[in-house]
This record gives sequence, structure tokens and C-alpha cells, in this order.
Amino acid sequence: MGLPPLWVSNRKEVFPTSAAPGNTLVPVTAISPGARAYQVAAEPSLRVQILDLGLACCALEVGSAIATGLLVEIEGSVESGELAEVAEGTSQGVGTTILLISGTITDALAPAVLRAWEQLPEPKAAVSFGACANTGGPYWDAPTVTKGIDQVVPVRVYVPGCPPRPEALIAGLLKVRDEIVVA
Amino acid sequence: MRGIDPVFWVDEFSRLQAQGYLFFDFLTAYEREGEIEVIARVVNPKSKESELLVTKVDADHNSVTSISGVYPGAVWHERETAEMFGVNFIGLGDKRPLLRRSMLARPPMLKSSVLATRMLKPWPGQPSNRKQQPIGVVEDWLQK
Amino acid sequence: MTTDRGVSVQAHGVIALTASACTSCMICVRECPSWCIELESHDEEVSEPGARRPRTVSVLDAFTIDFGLCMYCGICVDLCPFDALAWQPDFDYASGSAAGLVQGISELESWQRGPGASTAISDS
Repeated sequence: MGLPPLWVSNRKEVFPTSAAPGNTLVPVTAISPGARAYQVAAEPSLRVQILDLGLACCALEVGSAIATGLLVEIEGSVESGELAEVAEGTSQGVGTTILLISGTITDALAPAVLRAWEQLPEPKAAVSFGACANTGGPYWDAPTVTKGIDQVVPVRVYVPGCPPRPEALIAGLLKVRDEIVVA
Repeated sequence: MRGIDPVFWVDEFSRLQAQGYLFFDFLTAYEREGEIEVIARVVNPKSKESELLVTKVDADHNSVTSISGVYPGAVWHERETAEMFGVNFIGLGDKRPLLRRSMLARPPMLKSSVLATRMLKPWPGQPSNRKQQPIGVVEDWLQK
Repeated sequence: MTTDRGVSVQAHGVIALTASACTSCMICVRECPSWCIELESHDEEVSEPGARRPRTVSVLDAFTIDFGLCMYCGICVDLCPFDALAWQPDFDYASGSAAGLVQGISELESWQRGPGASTAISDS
């Protein structure tokens, strides 16, 4: 019995957005080469630009949010500043790119996360997605795991869960909007 | 699972590879009764058969011969096993650690290694009227 | 049973507490692999009419779950002898700070009142 080709490549043709009957294929954004633009289905005025750093299993949930239609990928340019109106009718937060850090961060990997953060143009906001990124989570006692990505980059919103469900990701994105527009 | 004399460890993998066991699955180690054993699995993709082989690590030098000359894919696994269990793979070229920043502390996967975070964080389940150790915490660890 | 969004009502969304059912037995705290539950209690003597001597009962002072650390395994929910802990399909509690994920009795109890407005239950 062959395994479904889920995680071997980020090439789009490998992951059709419409799955065959009885078979759910998850489009992989985990290792996407750059930020992509998305629309939050429940709140169409919220369009966000996300650079997804999928470092472990939590990344599957980001794929689930897209596969289940909670997060709709917007075709077209995702150049910084053009999209990502965090809230309609306000200029606050426009162009913000969200660095979505989902997964376990080891001390060996933390510098790479910091580099990704530093290379991301302003305006930007880091979202810690899941228990591992929040605090180390189930690996809180492991000698090789960073106890929270907020030790490395400034985190704007912490999304709880192990893993957080796709609904929690949407709640987290709404929280980012609230933080940026209200703040 | 088949136990292999350490002397024939590499030869056995060479023999299996010649028989069509071309896919290297994994190699790791575990500790049993104070002794470390190295375990590896190879698969014959045509017949779908697999072989799970185990050998004892030489207790004096904590060493075993590397099979990376037979299965180049084993390099990553042997590096990890060396890093986490302190096993010395004779003939392994690349010995850079994957995750650990410093190799000064004891290999973390040994049962005798203590998890410093568990030692330093107060256990929220500590009863007020008696002493109780949580799972994974060794008493008097500082003296060890 | 699912919520109106098709999520199972037993989904590991958040752990809710019924403080009146909790006897401060500490089983959840001790069995938690993440050490993310903290509990404080004190003993009180309760005299009941007709009883020969007063009973000693534990009174819950503080109960917190650090959802930043929680691995959502549900061991605490499964082991609680009095069903004081239960899963609720609520996901809407992202926080602007790590400390904001530490939830006390009042927050944990508020989830116990059933799924919030965003998660109405249907039988489908």
C-alpha cells in the first residue's frame, strides 16, 4: 500500500486543490518559498499575507485551513504592501506580513527562524502557532528544544493548541488584526 | 529481529544489500539493562521483505562499526545516534552533531542522563505533607 | 455531535473546569506530562446536623492551566474521578502574550457553560 505523496515537494502540480473522491490531499504551504496572500473566508474583508514557517506537525493544520476553505489563497501578486489589508476602511496594518511560526524550534534551528524574521520587510508581525512554538510544549524538558520562539523573535500573537485546529488559526489571525488595528 | 555479532555487523548488511535489500529504512539505538544496542532495518523493495538487525555496542569503547559504507543513507542516522546515545561509529566520516550545541553534557538519551529542565522546575504536583518524585526526576541528581 | 462549523463537540479545543465538582485530589496535576496544571487548596471542617463529628473537605483556591504548555493529550480529562474537567470545542482564545494563555478558575469555568456563540451545536 503506497503512502499518499503529501510532504515530498512544494511544487503545486503535485498537490491538486480538488482532491479525488474519498481522498483528502492537503496543499503544502509548509515549505513555500515566499509569503502568500490569503482571504479569511469567515471575514472576507480580512486579507492577510503569510510567510509560513512550518517546522513540524502544526504545519499540517495550516494546510487543513486552506483545504477546508477557512483560508482562501488569493491568486496574484503578493508583493509587500499591495495586499494584506488587515482591516477594511483603515490604513493601519496594510501590507503587514505575518510570519507564521508553526512547529518545534530546536536551538540548532532558531538562528534560521531569526534570519527569516530579519529578512522579512516591515511591516511584519510574528505569530507563534502551537504549543512547541509557544513554550516548547510537549518538549518542554528536551535539552535541544527552544522553550518558546519568543526568545528569538518578538511574537505578536500566541495561538494555543497541540496542534491548534484550523479554527484556532483563524482566531489567531483575527487576533492579529485586533492587535494591530486597536494598538 | 535478528541479533548479529558486532564482528559481522557490516558484512551482514553487505550480504543483505547484495540480496536485493536496497532500501535503508532507519538506524537507531536503545538502552537495555545498562547496555546500548544498535538497531537498523533494511527493506527489499521488490519482495517487500524487511530485515531488522540488532547488535551490541562494544562496552569498553562504546563503539560499533559504521554501515555508512554500505548504505550511505545511514550517515544521518549514525550521526544522530552518536549525538544522542554517545555511540562511536568506527568509519563514520561525518561526525557533526545535528541538534546539540555542546557535546560536553552526557548524551541525553541515556537513561542515566537527567533532564535538567525537569530538575530545575518545581513540580506542581508536589504534596505538601510528604515527599514524592515525579516521573523522570532522579533524587539527589546533583550528587550524581 | 458537531458544532455548526462541523467540528466534533469532543474536539480538543479547550479544557473547561467545573470547580464545584473538583475535590482538589491533584491527580490531574500529577499525571500531566507537561506540568501545565497548578492547583491550590485548603482544608475546611464542615459540621452537619446529626453528624457525629465534622467532615474535612478540600476547598479549591486556585486552578490554572497553561495552554501555552498544554499538549492537549486529555489525560487530565480522562483521569478526573469527578468529571470536573471536560473538553469544549472552543478555539477562540489566542493571546497577545504567553502569560495570557494561562487560564484560571473563572476563565476555565466560563468554557464549561457550553460552547460559545460561535460554536452552536447541531446533531449532524
